[in-house]
Amino acid sequence: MSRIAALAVRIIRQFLRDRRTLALLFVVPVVVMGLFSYILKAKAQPFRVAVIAAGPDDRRVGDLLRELLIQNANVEMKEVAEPEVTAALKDGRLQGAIVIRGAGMERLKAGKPMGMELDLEGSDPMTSRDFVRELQRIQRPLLDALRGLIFLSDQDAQMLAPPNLTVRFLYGGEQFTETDFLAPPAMAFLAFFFVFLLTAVSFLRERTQGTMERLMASPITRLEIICGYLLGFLLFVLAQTGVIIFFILYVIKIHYLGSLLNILLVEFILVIGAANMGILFSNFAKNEFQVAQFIPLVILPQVLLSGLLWSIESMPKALQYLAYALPLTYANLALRSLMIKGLSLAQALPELLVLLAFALLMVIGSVFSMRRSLF
Amino acid sequence: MSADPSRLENIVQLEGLCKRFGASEALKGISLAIPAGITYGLIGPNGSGKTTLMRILVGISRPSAGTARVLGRVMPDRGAARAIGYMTQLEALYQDLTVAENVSFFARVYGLSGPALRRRIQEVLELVDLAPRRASLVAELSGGMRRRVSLACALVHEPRLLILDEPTVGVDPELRILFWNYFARLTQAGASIIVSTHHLDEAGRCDRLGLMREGRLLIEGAPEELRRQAQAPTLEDTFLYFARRRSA
Repeated sequence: MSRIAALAVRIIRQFLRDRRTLALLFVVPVVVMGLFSYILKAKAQPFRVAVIAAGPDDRRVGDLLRELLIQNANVEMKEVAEPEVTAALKDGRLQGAIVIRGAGMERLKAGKPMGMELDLEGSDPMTSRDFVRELQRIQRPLLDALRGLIFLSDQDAQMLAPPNLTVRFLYGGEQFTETDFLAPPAMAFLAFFFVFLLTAVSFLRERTQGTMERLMASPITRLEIICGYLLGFLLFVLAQTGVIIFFILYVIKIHYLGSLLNILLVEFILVIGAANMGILFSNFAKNEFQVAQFIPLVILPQVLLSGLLWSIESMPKALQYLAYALPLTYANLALRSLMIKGLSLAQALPELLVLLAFALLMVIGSVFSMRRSLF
Repeated sequence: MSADPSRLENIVQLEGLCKRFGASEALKGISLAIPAGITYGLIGPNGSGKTTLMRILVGISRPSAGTARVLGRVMPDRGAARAIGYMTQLEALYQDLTVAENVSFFARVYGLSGPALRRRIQEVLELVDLAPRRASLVAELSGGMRRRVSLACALVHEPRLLILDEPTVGVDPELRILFWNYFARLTQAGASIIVSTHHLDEAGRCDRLGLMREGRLLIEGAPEELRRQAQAPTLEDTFLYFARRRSA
């Protein structure tokens, strides 16, 4: 019994002495639970939509639908002319547009259905599906209101045909699922996670076992050390990406556009940043255990906020600012642009430049941190 | 100063060398000249500044004041690195690589390649009597063997100056004798060695000794000379004599 007590007391002593572990033990759960509940409880961001009447006859129904949507659905009404819809969906002004056609009163009275064309941006399947569902729910109140407008007797009202709804997707499609949405950022996340942890651990070992001291006394330069590390790690990361791509394309069979080379390029830049971040952070760890503590600090926020699990657009505004401070966010945006939207590298350039800047910053940081051993 | 470093009389020349870490002074003004081609022993208790001095000599630490010239270059100077071999107190090996892979890695870091690389790995492993174990993982070796691999890594690029920080600490007496035999062979081949130790029995095998204490060089000279000056029967008594004289 006293032996067990001795062991327990020793462990408690060691815990109490390790302030950082102690802080993490209590702060991390609170922060994570707080973030989770904040994101989940926060009112979903309104869906940016335009209701467009194709002709003058369609205006009345258009106004009616607009009103119903504002009353019953979480939307932000936008004014966009029909020819501009595609451009507005592409640049993010709109997430969806509804065009009403053939909704003249005479036609409706004759029992002919109006045309309702829904154009969706579509890259986030959850948002798209939610809106389609809301639009379907509104069909009935819309018919009821029309009935009032046209003053039909109840009997005639039976003749009022439900609208003919067609849904078109700019990106993705009906068969597009959460997996398709999740796969590109999952790929970036896995590469980031492994490279960051592995470089941090191997650099920590390099310092604790004394080989870094030996290297520092040799003619090798700090930049050569970093490049050597990258070259070694890159082989495995690119192989890992290859396995993931093969798996998601041929086993899970995700929806995917764009060229493989572009995806590898994004991974390449991300890995440079992740590896150097690992080198930099290894300076703040005394042992492997403390490296493991970087997971809740560095990895977890990126899982929650980088748009991996839900689109950044759907998060509360305050967290969106935070999201745009995380490197993985840009990798996710870039990969979704390339893989889901099938955009070209040039169109994903802003995100790539931010990733590149992150990588550069981390290289400078890691080179500088190695200098600290020259004291 | 001669342009050709091989013609240098002194391989190391220290002038008023100081090193501070915050408030504590690790080296308090050391001036010393070490001639080429000898084994120079730095003797002193733990914390006397031996390691700090050696880290300045290999160029991974910057003096706070004074100058350290190694092979005619003011340290730190990356250009001198190729001619220096350094063995730390830690083994400083990759546990998950084999003996030959470790030696080969450090050889390539120092610029060796091709047939010269293979020849040197073989030579250096034969020197430390580990050629038969070249394919063994370092993690599977005994402590003494790992020390020898560590020495092999410091030697593989044929440095003109070897800086060995307590190479025999924790090493059994038999292996210690072996190590000193290696050192003798190396100086015969023209290398210079600076070695720190607190085994005073080893000090007798050095050509010259520097006695260090609390960041100062108490005295330096050939072992016999020092012993005569102290009128002491052993090196141990010699060290104690100079240590007391200093504090008196």
